[in-house]
Amino acid sequence: MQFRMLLALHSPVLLTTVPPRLDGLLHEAACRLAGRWDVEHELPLSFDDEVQGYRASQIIFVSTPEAPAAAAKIPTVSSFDQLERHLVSDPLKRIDEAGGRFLTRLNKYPGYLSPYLVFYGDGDPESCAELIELLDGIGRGHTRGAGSFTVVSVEPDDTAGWQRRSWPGDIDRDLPFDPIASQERLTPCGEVVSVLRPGRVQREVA
Amino acid sequence: MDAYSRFHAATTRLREVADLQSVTPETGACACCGRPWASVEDSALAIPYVYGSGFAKQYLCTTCYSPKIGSFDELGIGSRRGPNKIPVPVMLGMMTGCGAVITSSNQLFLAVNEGFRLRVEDGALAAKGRVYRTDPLSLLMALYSDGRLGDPKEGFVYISNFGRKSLVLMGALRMTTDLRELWDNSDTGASCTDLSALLDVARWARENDHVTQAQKSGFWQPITTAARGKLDQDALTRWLAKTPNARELVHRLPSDPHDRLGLHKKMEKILQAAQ
Repeated sequence: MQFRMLLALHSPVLLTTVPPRLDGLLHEAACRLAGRWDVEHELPLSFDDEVQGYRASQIIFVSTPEAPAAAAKIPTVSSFDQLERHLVSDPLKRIDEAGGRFLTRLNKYPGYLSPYLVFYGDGDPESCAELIELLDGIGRGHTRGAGSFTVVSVEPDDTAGWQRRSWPGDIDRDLPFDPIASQERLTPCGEVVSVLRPGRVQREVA
Repeated sequence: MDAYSRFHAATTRLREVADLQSVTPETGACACCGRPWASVEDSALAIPYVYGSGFAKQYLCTTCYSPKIGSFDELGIGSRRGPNKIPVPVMLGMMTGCGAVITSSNQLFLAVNEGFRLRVEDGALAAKGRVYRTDPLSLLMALYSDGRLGDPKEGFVYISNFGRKSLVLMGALRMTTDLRELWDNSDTGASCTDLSALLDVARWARENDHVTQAQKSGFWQPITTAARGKLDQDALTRWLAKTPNARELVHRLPSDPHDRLGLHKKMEKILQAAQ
């Protein structure tokens, strides 16, 4: 069954280089449930032969007439982490993001805040909602509180919204978005191949 | 080719002159970009590097170390230090406020500010006519409009600021293959900009006689406040009523709220580069 999963977003999302997709998030949740990250888990989503992956959409930011999707800057430790660990581990030492010796080691990354997030999919909606609730956040820095969410509703949907995801690069059909060529995985554990995918920031008005 | 091989090819001359002391690495991968030694450009060559006193020795690949290489021949004299006025060469990694574009034919173009223009003008790069006193986005627009950038689909690297943290810059270096996703590399990591939408907005400004207006921050006020999360519906309605072809403009605006911040500055660079 095709569904639309609406999530309330509580803190800004830091988008990863490849934008998060529902099947990737559910696979991470399934890994946590099983306690194993070395095997590929079965997901409660339908597999599509044409897309060579699960029917699951990319992350979509939903704004309301009252609250637009907004830009936020999140100071966090840079990917090249040169914090002096003996100082960071000291509970009496405060990491000051406004100045001092820590400032040069923290970067302000672009975050996105909107009232809701939405994922479209095709499969078992209840199992998907149960699985995704095992995650504490979406995107980079989810262990430090970025991208935290709660599931609001999972409703049947017949708009084929799951098609807003990466497709194989040699696909010969009209796609419901303006395609951008990229290199990505089509399944959570697949090989990196050339794909056509929507833009990083997909938006929708509730 | 990826971003690292383009950067490596564009900075070959810096490394040739520098006579680097490379060693056999003791780690599995470069400490900066994280690529295994077998897949870096100068495979199995590593430069030992210590971030500061009290830090462990790290091994960097030659590509990630390139911004730390000074070159009198290529980039000129950066400063003269001490009582004896010992000259210190310019390094790419010390050029705070300056940017670069590496074209699809692996040519390095520098966009420098006034301070660095005087320092690098004696270097070989300036003699080749590849140093411009401008900002990086204007340089990119100029190279794009006169065709020296090459086909964007073949990939180019855009560095908006070398900054102070060159290892953060090199740790997340990304190549742009589509103007809808311009990867803006800087010392705060790589971020994404929809340059194609910004060019569309600039075209709207020219079509509707709003070239001067579009370069003023006041004109974009309702759009930028909404991108900051504060929606003023009345101001937005008034703005839509007084702006010509407003629906078309709203349709052309980039969907990323980060791109909507500081629109007037981006318009200024794009519109002035086109003139």
